[in-house]
Parts: sequence; C-alpha cells; structure tokens
Amino acid sequence: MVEKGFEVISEFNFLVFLIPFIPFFASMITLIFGKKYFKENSHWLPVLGVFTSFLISLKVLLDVIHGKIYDFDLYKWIVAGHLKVGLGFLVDPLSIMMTCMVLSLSFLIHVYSIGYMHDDKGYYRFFSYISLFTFSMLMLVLSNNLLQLFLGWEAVGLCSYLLIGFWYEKRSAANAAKKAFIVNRVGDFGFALGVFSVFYFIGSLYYTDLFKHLDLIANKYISFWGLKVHVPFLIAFLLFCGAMGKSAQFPLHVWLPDAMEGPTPVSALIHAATMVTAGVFMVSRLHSLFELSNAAMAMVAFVGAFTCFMAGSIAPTRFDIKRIIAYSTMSQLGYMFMACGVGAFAVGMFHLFTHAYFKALLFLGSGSVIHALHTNDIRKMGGLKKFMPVTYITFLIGSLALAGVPGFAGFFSKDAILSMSFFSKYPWGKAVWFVGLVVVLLTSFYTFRLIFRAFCGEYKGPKDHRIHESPKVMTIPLIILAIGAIVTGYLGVPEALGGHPIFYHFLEPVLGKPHVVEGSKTVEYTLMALSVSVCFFGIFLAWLTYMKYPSLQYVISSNFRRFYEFFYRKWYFDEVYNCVFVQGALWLGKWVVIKISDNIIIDGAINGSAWLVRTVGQGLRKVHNGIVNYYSAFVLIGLVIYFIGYLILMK
Amino acid sequence: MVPMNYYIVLAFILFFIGLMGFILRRNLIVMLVSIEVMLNGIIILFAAISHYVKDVSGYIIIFFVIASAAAESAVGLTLAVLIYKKLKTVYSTDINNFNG
Amino acid sequence: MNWDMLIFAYLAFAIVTTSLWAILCRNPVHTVLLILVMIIHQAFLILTLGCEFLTAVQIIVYAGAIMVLFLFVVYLVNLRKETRSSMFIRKWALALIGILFFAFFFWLNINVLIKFQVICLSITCYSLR
Repeated sequence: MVEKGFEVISEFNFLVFLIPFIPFFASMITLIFGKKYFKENSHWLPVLGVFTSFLISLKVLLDVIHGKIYDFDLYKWIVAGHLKVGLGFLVDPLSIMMTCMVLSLSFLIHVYSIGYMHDDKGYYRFFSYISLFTFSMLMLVLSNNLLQLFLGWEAVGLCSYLLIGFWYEKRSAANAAKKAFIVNRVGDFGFALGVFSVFYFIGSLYYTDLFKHLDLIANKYISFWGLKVHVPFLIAFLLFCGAMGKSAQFPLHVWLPDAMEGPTPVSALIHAATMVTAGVFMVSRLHSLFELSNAAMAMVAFVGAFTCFMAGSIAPTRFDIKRIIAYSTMSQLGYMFMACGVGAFAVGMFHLFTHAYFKALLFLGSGSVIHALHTNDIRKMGGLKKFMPVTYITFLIGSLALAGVPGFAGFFSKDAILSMSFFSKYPWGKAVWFVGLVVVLLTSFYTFRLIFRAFCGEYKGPKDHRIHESPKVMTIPLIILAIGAIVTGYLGVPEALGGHPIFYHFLEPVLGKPHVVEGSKTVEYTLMALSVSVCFFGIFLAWLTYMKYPSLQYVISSNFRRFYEFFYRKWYFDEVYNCVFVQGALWLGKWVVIKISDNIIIDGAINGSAWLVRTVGQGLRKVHNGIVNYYSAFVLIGLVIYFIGYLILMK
Repeated sequence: MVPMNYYIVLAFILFFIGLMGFILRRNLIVMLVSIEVMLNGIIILFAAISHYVKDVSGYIIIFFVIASAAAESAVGLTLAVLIYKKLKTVYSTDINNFNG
Repeated sequence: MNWDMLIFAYLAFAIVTTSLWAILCRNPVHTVLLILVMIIHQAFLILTLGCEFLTAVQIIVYAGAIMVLFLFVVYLVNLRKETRSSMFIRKWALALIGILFFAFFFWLNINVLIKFQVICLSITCYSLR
C-alpha cells in the first residue's frame, strides 16, 4: 500500500490528535452552554475551532508531502480475546486529502451558516451539530481500522438525522430524517456484517494487517446455502451495501431527495461533499480488497452506472431547486463509483474532490436564492440575475463546472473518468463509458434548465416581494468556493493535455495506478471532443427548450404521458418501497406482533391460565357439595379404579 | 346340590342392588335400608362359602356382621332423626350444610 | 329338576325381586316392609345351607329388631310418599352404570349371571327410554 519512500511514524502525534478533537470539544461546549450563555454568539467557538483544525491539517499535509505517514493508536479500545482494536489515526495521502477537503468545506459552511441561520431559534444547536458532524467525518477519514471507520460511519448517520430533522416541528422534516436514518441503517447492517466477516477471515481489523494478509482470502471460497461464494466478493458486497446506503446509490437512494428538508448548509455539507462521499472513500481505501474480485468491481461499476442514469433521468422533472441538485449529487456519485468500478480509484477520488467544491457551491447558491425568496419552487423564480448578481455568477460557475465545460474543474475530473473507463482493462469499461456519456448530456440539460428557469427570463413569483442580495457573510464563501471550483480542476490535468496531474501522483502510493490499457492519443482526443460536444449540445437543448421556445417544455409531458409519469414519479421507487417494506412492516406489526404474539400468545397465556384455574375450580367445586350420594359414588369409583389397577398389576 | 356359584352370584347381585340403592336414592332412611341390603348380600356370601368349604369360620363372621349391622343401623337412624329435628328434612340434596 | 334347585330358584328370585322393588319404591313404608320380606326369604336361604341357628338369629335380630327400628324412625320423621322422581342420577349415567355392570358380569363369565345381565340391560333400556 505504501511505497518505500515514506517513513511511518507510530507514536502519538499531538497535532494529528487535535485535528478531529478540536471541533468535537467546540461542539460539546456549544451544545452545553449555547442555549443560556452564548445565544447569538454560538458561532464563534465552532468557526474558530474548525479554522484551527484546517490550519493544522494544512501543516500535516505538508508533512505528508515531505514523506511522513502517521499510523498510531490513541488507546486500546477493545481487547477481547482475539479482537484487538484501538482508537487510532492513519494519516496518509488519501486521508489527508480528504481531511483538508472536509475541513475547508466545513469552515466555509460554518461561515455561511452565520448568515443563513441568523434568526433561527436553534442557532446554537445548529453549530454544535455541524461541528459534531465534522468531528465524525474526520474520525471516519482518519481512522486506521475498520471498526473506527464504522464508528465514524454511524456517527455521520446520526448527525445527518439530527440535522435533516433540525426543524423538528415540521412533520415532513421529521419523516425525512427518519427515512434517512432507517435507509442508512439497512446499509449499515450489511456493512457491519462485512466488518464481522473481515474479522472472521483475516483476524484483525486494522488496515495494515488487512492489506498484509489479503492473500489469505484471495482464492478462498465458502459454501453458503449450497452456493460456492468467493470470499473477497462476499466481503466486498457486504461493505458495499453500507456504501450504497451512505452514498445514496440504487437501491438505497430514496432518502437523499427527502433529506433536502434540512437547512441548506446541511445539504451542502453533508449531502454534497462529505457524508455521501464516505462510501466512495471506503471503497477507495479498501481498493485492494475490491480488486481481488472481478464480480465486486462489476457490481460497483454497474450500481454506479445505473444510479447515474436513473438520477440523471429524474432530475429534469423536478421543480424544487434543492431536489434537482440532490439528484445531481446522486448522479455524480454514480460517476465516482463507476470510476472505482473500472479500477481507476484515484480518478474517482479526484472527481470526489472537485465535485465537493462545485456541488457545495451550487447548494449554497441555491440557499442564497431560498433565503431571498423564501421559496424552493423554480416555477416561481425567474430573472434573478439582476437582483442577485454575485449569486448568479457563482452559481453559473458551479453549473459550468458540473456540466463539464472545459476550463472548469468538472471537465478534468469527469473527462478523466470517461477516458479511464473507455480504456479500462475490465470488460465493462465501454458500457460504463457509454452510460457516462449519455449522462453528460442529461447533466448539462438539467443544470442549465435550472439556470435558465431560475436566473434568466422573467420573474414569475409574487410581485410584492423585495428581493435583495444575500449578506457578505454568505456571499464570500460563495466566491471562495467558485474560485475552488475552477482551481481544483487544475490539480489533475491529464498528461494528454500537457499537464502534470499532481493529484494522481500524490495518491499513487495509496491507490495504485489505474487499470488501463494504453490507448492512442488520437482516440483520447476524440473521446474528449465527443464529451465536450455532448455537453454543449445539452446546454443548447436547455436553451432551446427554456429560453427560445418555451412551449417545447410540454412536448414530452403531454404527448408521452406514461413515459413522462414514470420519470416524474421517480421511477416509482417510493411507491414500491412503501408497498413492500413500509406496508409489509406495518402488516407484520399489526398481525404478528399485536394480533398474534400480543393478543393471542401473551394475553392468551395470562388470561388462559386464569381461565384454566377458574374452570378447574368450578369443576372441582361440584365435588364438594355436601350431598352424601356423590361422596359415596366417588368412593365406588375410586374402588373400581383400584380394583382395575390391581388386576393390571397382577397380570 | 345347588352349585356354589349360584349362591355367590346371588350374593353379588344383592350387594350391587344395595349399592345402587345407596348411591341413587336421596332419602336418608332408604339409603340406610340399602346398606342393610348390602350387608345381607355379604351374609349370603359368607354363608355359602363356609358351607361349601366346610369351614365354620364363615358362620362366625356372619355373627359379627349381623351385630355390626344392628349397631350401625341404630346409630344411623339416630343420626337421621337428629338431622330431621335440626333441618326438618331427610333428603340428602337438602342437607348440604357442609358444601364447599 | 330336583327340589333343591327349585327352592333355591324361588328364594333367589324372591330376594332379588323384593330388594329391587324396595329400593325403587316411593313409599318408604313399602320399602321397609319389602325389606322385611327379603330378610325372611334370606333366612330360609341360609336354612337351606344347613345353618338353622343363623336363620333364627337372622329373623330375631334383623327382622325383629332392626326393621322395627326402621319403621319407628319412618313414622318419627313423618315420611310421606315422595312426589319427586326417585331416580337421582341422570339417564345417561344410569345407562353407563348398567353397561359397566353388564360388562363386569360378562367378564366374570358365570352362566347363571345371565339373569342379572338381563336385569342390567333392562335398567339401561329403561333409563334410555
């Protein structure tokens, strides 16, 4: 996993320890004292805490660039028989890259929230929760064993629940939080089984031990209900279940659009940049395990491709600005999994890195719009570019990055994914490339649909509303993120275009080289040109439909009604899940639990024993009635029985 | 000679008649009478056996049985009279002070 | 057919009949009187067995003392003719008991019990009618 050029430091390092724990302490102090003592000033401690962590992480990044790796345990957490797990930190290029990204975004979103959540009565709670979330994400990223990863995994799920349901008095928000947690929990169940199976087959949960002993399981098969299952595939599948839940891939994707009930900074931080990328991070961290099994790689690639296409097809039908961006997140996460599935883990991580910036930018921009208009519906928006110029320009930059227009960040990462999958050694590379190309078209279409409807054209909302630009504390993070959306792309300019992809070189010791066959340069340039032209075609289509001929919007929805309904109803997933799982669980609860085991079994047992005692008592009561005849009859019966018994015994 | 079986059968029949009378009648006096019937059946049994086995012990037992029958019927009847004095009835279904 | 058999048959028949009638009778005075008759027949039965003394003792003690005692008590408690049905037990139980006794005597496998088996069956049929 690590090249010989690195020195591994295994003793306690105070700075690395501080990185996650400063936000944690800030969060706890704000939570305890925020309501009474801090009140409106609750934001100072978390913001300063996260900023300090960010600076420390930059320093540690410099250390890693100079060739140091930290791998130490804080203390021995579980020592039980063969299981020895500690709370530890592993700082290598992958984790420090993620740490810096998480902390930079977290800091900018903390600052943004000062303006966005200004008059909210849960102000202190919000900052405490997002600091807690930052702590959880950092524990996840910096862990050096699978159990701590799982700890961070569950903790970010918890923070997601707390933050989605932040406005808990709103019923839809509470339901969305429940849905997110439960769907996540389904994935976490598979993940837990994966952790158990890793321990069972390899005997240790530390990454270093895992990578050392991979050859133990490389060719092992276990028989499971009559089928011979390849052990690496089993472990990869179980762990990927967790990734599917956390990163909102099919089939556990249903929680992400509903999670937009939370405040916009939450959506930006958690559901664009950090929590949902935990799945991709886990797959990249355990890439050597996934590479052992071709079936696992195929599963990752196909799940990613399917989700990519599905989300891309649903997004153009949405009317809520945040939900469009949520489906866009789902689609881009599909891209990342597609990259991992064809063996180009570093490219997937690069797309994760750039995507974090421009997606957070898009979310914060939409938050700015929502803050000004107090509505999410794009049908009530229009012509906002003259009211909110800063928001418009940064949003436009973010959209260009998302669509993959050359010059912005998204182009470099997305194009790298497409070319890696085309040239991949794995046989499903070409199919993945084709899906990716189609989704480029869909992505640019729905992104620019959003831009044209929200910012250009005529204002369609209530006329008495005074629309103003957001305060500086909200626009400055937007500007910084816009710069990030452009600049981060240049960290990974591919060699074909004459750049030095320092990002890939930085991650190479951890993630290895992508599994590609060498292709000719002309093919690469053709592919690049093809994807760029598809992107521009999508933008052109959006312009045609929404600016030039507005009646064109209704072509599909009126003529191909059934077809349109399918996409409009989100491929009927919610209905199917409701029918099967929700109603099934309710039916199970009503019949099995309430009717059968409560009413019949438990009540039956208790009432039945009382009934038994009463009936026997009533029966026996007749024996003692004071009438001599009865008594003599009983004597006779007893005598007869005695006599018969005597005869039987004598035989 | 009459075979011994006949006497024994007769004794059994009489005993069972007395038994049925004791169980099925509600009148105390008739119940006591049926006890006498039972005892008479026993008397016939012992007499027949003792005659055919040529042992005198059976006759001796009969004396005791007659004596005990006399004593027990005296006591029973006294009790029946006393019950009548107290409860004004001799039907066993009405004499259920001891139920429960 | 010799005299012994005949005498025994008459005495046995009389004993069984009178005792059966006695316990089924509603009038208690009739009951006691019928028992008296039964005791006298029984005394003669013992006489046929060759024990005169016992016969005398039976008549003097049983018939002379005990039954008189019974009669005194019957008049003392003012027993009248019963108006309620004399059978105490339900019909199906009676039938059951009849069948049980029938089975018992059948098991005893004695030829002369046919008479009593008939009686049992008749009780069963009477109770089931």
